[in-house]
Amino acid sequence: MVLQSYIQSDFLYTFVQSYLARAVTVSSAWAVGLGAVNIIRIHGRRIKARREQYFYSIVLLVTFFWFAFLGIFLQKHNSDPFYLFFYNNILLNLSATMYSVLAFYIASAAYRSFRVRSLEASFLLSTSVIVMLGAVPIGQALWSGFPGLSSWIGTNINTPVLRAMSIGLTLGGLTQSMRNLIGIERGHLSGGD
Amino acid sequence: MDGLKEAIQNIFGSWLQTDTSNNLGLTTFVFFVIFAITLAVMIKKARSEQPMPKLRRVAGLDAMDEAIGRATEMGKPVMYNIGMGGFTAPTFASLAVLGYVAKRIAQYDTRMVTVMRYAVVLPVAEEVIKQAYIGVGKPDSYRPDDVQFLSEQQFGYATGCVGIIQREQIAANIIIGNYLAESLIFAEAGTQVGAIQIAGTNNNVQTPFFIAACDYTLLAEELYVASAYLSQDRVKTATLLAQDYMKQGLVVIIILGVLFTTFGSKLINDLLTLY
Repeated sequence: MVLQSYIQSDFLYTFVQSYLARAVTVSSAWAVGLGAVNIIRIHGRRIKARREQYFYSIVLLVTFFWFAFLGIFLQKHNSDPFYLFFYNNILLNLSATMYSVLAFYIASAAYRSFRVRSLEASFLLSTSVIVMLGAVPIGQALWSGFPGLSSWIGTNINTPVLRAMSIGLTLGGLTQSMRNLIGIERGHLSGGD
Repeated sequence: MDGLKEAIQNIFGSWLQTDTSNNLGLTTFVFFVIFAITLAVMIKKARSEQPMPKLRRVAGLDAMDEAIGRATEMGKPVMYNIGMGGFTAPTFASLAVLGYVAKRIAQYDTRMVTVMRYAVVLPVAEEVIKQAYIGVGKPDSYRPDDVQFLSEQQFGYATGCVGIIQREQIAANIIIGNYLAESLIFAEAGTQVGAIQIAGTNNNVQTPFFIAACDYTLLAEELYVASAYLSQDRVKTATLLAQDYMKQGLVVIIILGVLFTTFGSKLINDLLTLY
């Protein structure tokens, strides 16, 4: 796959696209089956043993089998209007609810981070106050320089730091991949070092 | 520069990938070859018993034992979150840390709940943990129900994790791998139950959330250092050495690029975007 990215060859292209890509798809599909078995086994045991809050396991398994039934047996599978009715009106709303909870989590995490307990925390607080004031109309009303200062912090402090981290992460990811490819990293194969 | 480009085209023209959708560029190929050679040299050095530099302390990784010890003392479980990735570099890095943590968990007879988003990671995680228990001579203590695939839906997975954190009242929350918007959901849920939290991700955008909410955060490539650091393996340390040499090389290129551009030359820029 690496070679295919650099070398122009019909053979490599066909091999990667029609053989390796399909192999990945097939193995992923089998893995989903394993995941389903894992869910059924864990929650089935919980229901059987009447463990605490086992009612939620019943809800989970009923929903699980219901969606699987709809996806498999409906004429248009997961694009069937009946399937989409449940998907759009239950799953999407639940996901959106969980996503919106993030707003409260951000507020509580920010509250803890912004408490001035050290020199670093005071830098964080003062920088974030400037950036926040630069992003809201009241900041500009207080002092017209806030948006510019906020933008300067983003461009000249935040961006270089993120780029430095990106370079480190890219090199780290490459090193990790090389360790896997040449067999130095075997932890995921047998649990050894 | 045009002459050089023409010469490369004449020599390698029929081989070089010209499909722009796949082309990673000659620059990355040259970089890849230099990196592979540096890696080979460093590994050879490590295997010939030559002295290797010591790794600097990484607070987040040193805290693994502290977190497990705390959970053991409190009699509460540790939660290990492998993350949102399939078989990508951060997931492999996370699995390496999982092997270490699982071994300690098995030694201390503590409980650990392991969760992941993608089912494809499940059998590998199960095997890593099972082998850790076998490694310390306690295969019967392994609990298959504690390795859980939750959902491939992003927020379904997040909800499942929060549920486990709240129900089990975990004492330690280890969040290592690839994360998206749900990173703060995990971290804040852990904070609410008073868990000691260690996090690391390859996603720069999520790192600030972890810094804000967790006790220890692995910054940038510290995530990939974990395996070498925890095992203190010479060959793995050698790969980090190669990585650092490449980083130094990149810093030199950046400085040269800045200087050349400042003085009106585009040489470095043209070389990097040659093909």
